[in-house]
Amino acid sequence: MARTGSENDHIRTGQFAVLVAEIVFSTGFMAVGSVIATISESAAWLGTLLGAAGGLIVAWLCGTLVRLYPGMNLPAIADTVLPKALSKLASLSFAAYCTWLLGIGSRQFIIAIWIPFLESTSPLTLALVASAIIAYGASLGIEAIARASMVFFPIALLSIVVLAGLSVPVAHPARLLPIIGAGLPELGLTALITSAYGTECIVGLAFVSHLNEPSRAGRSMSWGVLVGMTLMSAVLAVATMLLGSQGVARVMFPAVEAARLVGPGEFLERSEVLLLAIWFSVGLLKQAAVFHATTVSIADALGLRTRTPVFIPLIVASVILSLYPTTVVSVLHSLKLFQRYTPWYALALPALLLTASALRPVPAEGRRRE
Amino acid sequence: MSLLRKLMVLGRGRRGADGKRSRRSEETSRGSGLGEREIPARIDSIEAEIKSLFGERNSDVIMRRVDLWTCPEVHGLLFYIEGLTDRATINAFGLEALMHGERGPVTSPLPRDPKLLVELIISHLLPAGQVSAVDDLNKVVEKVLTGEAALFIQDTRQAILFEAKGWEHRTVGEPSTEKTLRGPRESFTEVLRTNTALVRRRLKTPDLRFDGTRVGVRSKTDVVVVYIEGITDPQLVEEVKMRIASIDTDIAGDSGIIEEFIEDSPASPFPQMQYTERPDRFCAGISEGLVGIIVDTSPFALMAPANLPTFFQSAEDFYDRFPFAGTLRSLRYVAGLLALTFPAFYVAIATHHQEMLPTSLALAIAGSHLSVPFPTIVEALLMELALELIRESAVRMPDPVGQTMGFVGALLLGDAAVSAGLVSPIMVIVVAVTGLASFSIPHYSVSLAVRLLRFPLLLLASWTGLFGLTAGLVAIVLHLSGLTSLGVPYLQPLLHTGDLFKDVLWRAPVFKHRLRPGFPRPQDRVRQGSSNRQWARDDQDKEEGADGENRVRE
Repeated sequence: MARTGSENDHIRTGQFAVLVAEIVFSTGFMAVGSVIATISESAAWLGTLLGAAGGLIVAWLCGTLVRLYPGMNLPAIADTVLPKALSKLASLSFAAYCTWLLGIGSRQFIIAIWIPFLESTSPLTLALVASAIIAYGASLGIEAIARASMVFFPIALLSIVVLAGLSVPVAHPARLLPIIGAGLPELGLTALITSAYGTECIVGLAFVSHLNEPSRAGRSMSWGVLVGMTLMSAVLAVATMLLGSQGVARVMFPAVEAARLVGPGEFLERSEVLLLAIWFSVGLLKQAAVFHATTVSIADALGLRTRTPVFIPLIVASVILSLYPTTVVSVLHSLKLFQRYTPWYALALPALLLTASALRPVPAEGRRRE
Repeated sequence: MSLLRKLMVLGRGRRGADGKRSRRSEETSRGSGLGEREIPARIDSIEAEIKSLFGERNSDVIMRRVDLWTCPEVHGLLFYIEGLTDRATINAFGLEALMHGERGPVTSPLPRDPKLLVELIISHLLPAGQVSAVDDLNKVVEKVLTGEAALFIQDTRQAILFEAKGWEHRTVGEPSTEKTLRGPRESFTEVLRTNTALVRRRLKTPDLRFDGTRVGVRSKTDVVVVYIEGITDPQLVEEVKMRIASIDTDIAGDSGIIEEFIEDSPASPFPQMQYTERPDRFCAGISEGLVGIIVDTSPFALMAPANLPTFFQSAEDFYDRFPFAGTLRSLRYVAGLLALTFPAFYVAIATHHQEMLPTSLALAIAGSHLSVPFPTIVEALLMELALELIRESAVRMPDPVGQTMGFVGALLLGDAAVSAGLVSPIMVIVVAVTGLASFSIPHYSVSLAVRLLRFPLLLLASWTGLFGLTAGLVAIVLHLSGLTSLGVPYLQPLLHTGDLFKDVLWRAPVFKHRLRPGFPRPQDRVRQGSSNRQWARDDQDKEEGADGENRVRE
């Protein structure tokens, strides 16, 4: 079993919930609206809220797994319940999923920052700075990331409240009507698409071995999913009230566009850069957590004793993935692919492990790692 | 050949059969034990041996031959180091008592048995407080080097050690680095016993422990671990003692050296131990369950575990009334954040995000920058560097000159740089505000960390604007999140929202501090009873009762 940052890392269930909320919310909320507003129009925000259901199912499955195998993370559980080859495949597929998350999240941030705010700076510089911080966070271990999240996530939460507060004078609540948007089937489809973000909570399976109360993992994960998806929905609702559903569908980052329309007054014009900087902070922490999960999974799948050999290739991959694809259309396309396929994977993996566990029960003493 | 090397060679220092020094003997020579060495019988031999250890030309090594007045045929040798001993004590309790006694003969004849003779001298001829007989010459030398005096008696093969410590030292004065307007004005000195007495005077409990040890093969510095039995977590105490015991160095002349040896992450710019020269602050920390370390020859005592908020607390916080003390504490956090980020924030906005500013301000900044040939980042780095140079030179100057140097240097340099068109006036303002803010951080070591980290933040801000600054801040918080002090997380109190406004960001009234802080895991968390200000509650109850009765009457 590879060393996961610090073997002595311990995270409390509250920290775990914040971490999961951060993973669910931090990168997806910026662009989610542009994809789903074309489908469910004014009900995009409601669809996002309903999309939490997928995440809650994954959280329940993961919670059940952790209760059965306390003190183990996903690769260890896979090793225990699956045949060796299948277990390696599960770990590597999980690593691939995390790498996809890493790439898509970084790319979204680079585009959101680079084009409107830092055109004179090379995107490579941005990618290098972001990847360095992400790798540094991952090297410190999940406990450090969880603690830092406890500092930055409340600030991000506050920024959403501020955004909502500042939007009051210029918002049009009527733009949220009709409440079911284009219709119930479209609303259902939207919920299915946005469940891709809720089901990102599966990344938490890489850290559950560090939980101080494994029995409460499922509940913490569920809270994280609920908070994350509610925030995402709130941002989308604000964006819809400010831009209208067509306006949301036209831009790539409705959240940033919404922030552009509000301002604290004369002193700071164009304050969206401040909000984006705050969101960038939680985005970096999410990426660090995902990076950590990726290194742990790869190292475990390959039977490495430490995560160090995985770091350099993954940093390079992270930099490359944050620079490609180069066009906005292709980025949106990759986002659509992500939304279409990943929820099924996130549901299938814990379900497979639970099924395997039921079919191949292991002795009770074998379930506990030393 | 130095004295201790000679001691090692003479004392033991074995070589293996192959002629190489074994690992064991290497450890012995660097470690504590020098082995035992018998004291010669003859005074001449003793004198010769001491001379061979200390060399012929050590003018402060005093060896004075004495004949006991009770029995002139008993020869002795008084051995001490001038400067480490008190001359009056040596004269009164050593020479005069031995050579010019006014009492009648002790016993006649003196006993022939060496042991009895030594006991007789101790009980009748040496009126000193702490006296002991030793038969190991190495131990005698070790004790004499700490300020005791030794009396060798011919043919006894023993030395009588008596307390004669007395060296020049600074008296207890005002703290120079932790000044307060209100509160005690005493500070630690370089003398260990003075410092322990200052602590003992404030904590008059028998549970207070001064657990002593020595550090440094050559310096043999006395180090005392201070804690309160029943409050301090014993695991913390053991951890500190274990870390101190593992120090293997020649010289440990200050608490700063000990700190670097025992802290969790020496590479971090942030201190993981509090240092203080104020006994009141030290005692407050000890009574909260921290472990203290007092080092002889150092006027700064250490306390651990530490965390980030402790470095934003001032001793004065608890002497001023809480509304002001709390506000000032919050202000210090703002100052810390300003000192860290203000120049980087300015550079980010001026370089990449001008659209954020109102047009008039953006024009003012652009106008002031017109005559400056450098980009904003170069301007900022130049001014920051100049500020650091002024600060560093002012610290090295004598006090009055240093202060003048600071003010005049900053004013002249800023004015001249603006007149020469090297920097913009706004940049001077930014750097001045940053400098002031960094002076508001009560702990110099944290202020240093902030000053150091300002530079990478500046560079990040110039490359990638506010996003670079954010990335830098995330990296700093991640670093702080991973940092521990004696295994206790560095950000712990900041993450407990319940305590944030009690004694972290704000200071609640003292009578509300019923429990000790949880981070040092004190054994006894309750520090105040619940009866504080009961009289106020009683009065309120009476008034409410009277109001109720009046209402009933009405």
